[in-house]
Amino acid sequence: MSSELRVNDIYNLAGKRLSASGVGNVVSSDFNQSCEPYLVYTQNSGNGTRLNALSLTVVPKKSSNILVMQWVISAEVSWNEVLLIHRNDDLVTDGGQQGYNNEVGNNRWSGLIGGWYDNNNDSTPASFKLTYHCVANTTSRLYFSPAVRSSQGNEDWWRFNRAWSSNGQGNYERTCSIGYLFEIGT
Amino acid sequence: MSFLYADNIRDTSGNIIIPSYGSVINTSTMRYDGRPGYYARGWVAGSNASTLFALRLTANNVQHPNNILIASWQLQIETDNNTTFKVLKNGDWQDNSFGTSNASAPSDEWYWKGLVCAYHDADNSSTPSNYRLMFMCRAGAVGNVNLDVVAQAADDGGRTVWINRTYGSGGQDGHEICVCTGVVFEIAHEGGEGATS
Repeated sequence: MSSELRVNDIYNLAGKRLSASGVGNVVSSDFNQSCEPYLVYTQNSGNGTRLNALSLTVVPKKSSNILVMQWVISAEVSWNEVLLIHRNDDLVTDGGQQGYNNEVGNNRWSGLIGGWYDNNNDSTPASFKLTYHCVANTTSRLYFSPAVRSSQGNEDWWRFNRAWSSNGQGNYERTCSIGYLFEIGT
Repeated sequence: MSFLYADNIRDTSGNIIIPSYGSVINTSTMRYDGRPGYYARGWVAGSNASTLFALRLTANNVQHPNNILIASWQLQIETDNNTTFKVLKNGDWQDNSFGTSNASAPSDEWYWKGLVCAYHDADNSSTPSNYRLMFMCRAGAVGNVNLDVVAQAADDGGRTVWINRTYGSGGQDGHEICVCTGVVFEIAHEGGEGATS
């Protein structure tokens, strides 16, 4: 049996406001973690290859609510790559909320973040920090997935949660990728 | 208009769902798609850092000065190594931004201290780097609180910090163009009781 209490503002007994009609509060959340090593092929055209293992899902409680997502993604790949954001299996193209840089548009070198130009692409994966936020614009189910795309002529492989040459051994690190989504009241 | 006053709110099973302190009570975000370059200087007395105003993250409608702000930026930046990044709150230096106990007076040691520093990677021409800059503080005020990222050379020279673009190009094959974003959470915290708004 469920019960419901309806109220505008909530204060603690000391008088500090904890909620003003839910505005700014976290009203729902989702989490995902992937520790399995897997390979993804990236093309140099199109809208990127989705990382479905890191998808985050929400059924927004209000259409105007804000969705905040953060991922830490471990992978080994060359430097000529970008990461994008897909919503319900399509690249996000909504004005001001694009899953790529909206000043240069949806070119293959445009993304939210890019690959690392580190000193080793064989035995040491890198850590990618990705943050994306948008307005829900619906109360229907949404799921968001990072996607990867080559930023130049050559296509390439991403190796997630592992090094390039080994699936895990001394000096070839095995790692996890993780993400969360907060729905923020408005 | 209705109001509820309680220390803890529990569900019908007795689990606390809204505690008196510790919950997120406010969230603000920023996104920046522009591609400017800022010149980050090293130690020059009285003028020793460059504020990246385009990346300002404003905590809107802060409820109480004793509440905690937890801020994080996704930074896509290309610059040389020997660069540090710090945070200003409403234009003031913050002690915990660069590990000093006295942020009230400028110091010639500040230039090599920061929350994060630029990577010593293998390329400073065609591939920007990806940073997570995190900062925590008491809000210190109600209303809007501005948090700014500051870049400073860690030597006595200077260098350009490119935002969302590479040094070599504003966008072409193999020269990635990206986005900087930020999120700040206001956390209800004990101390200085009383509603302020």
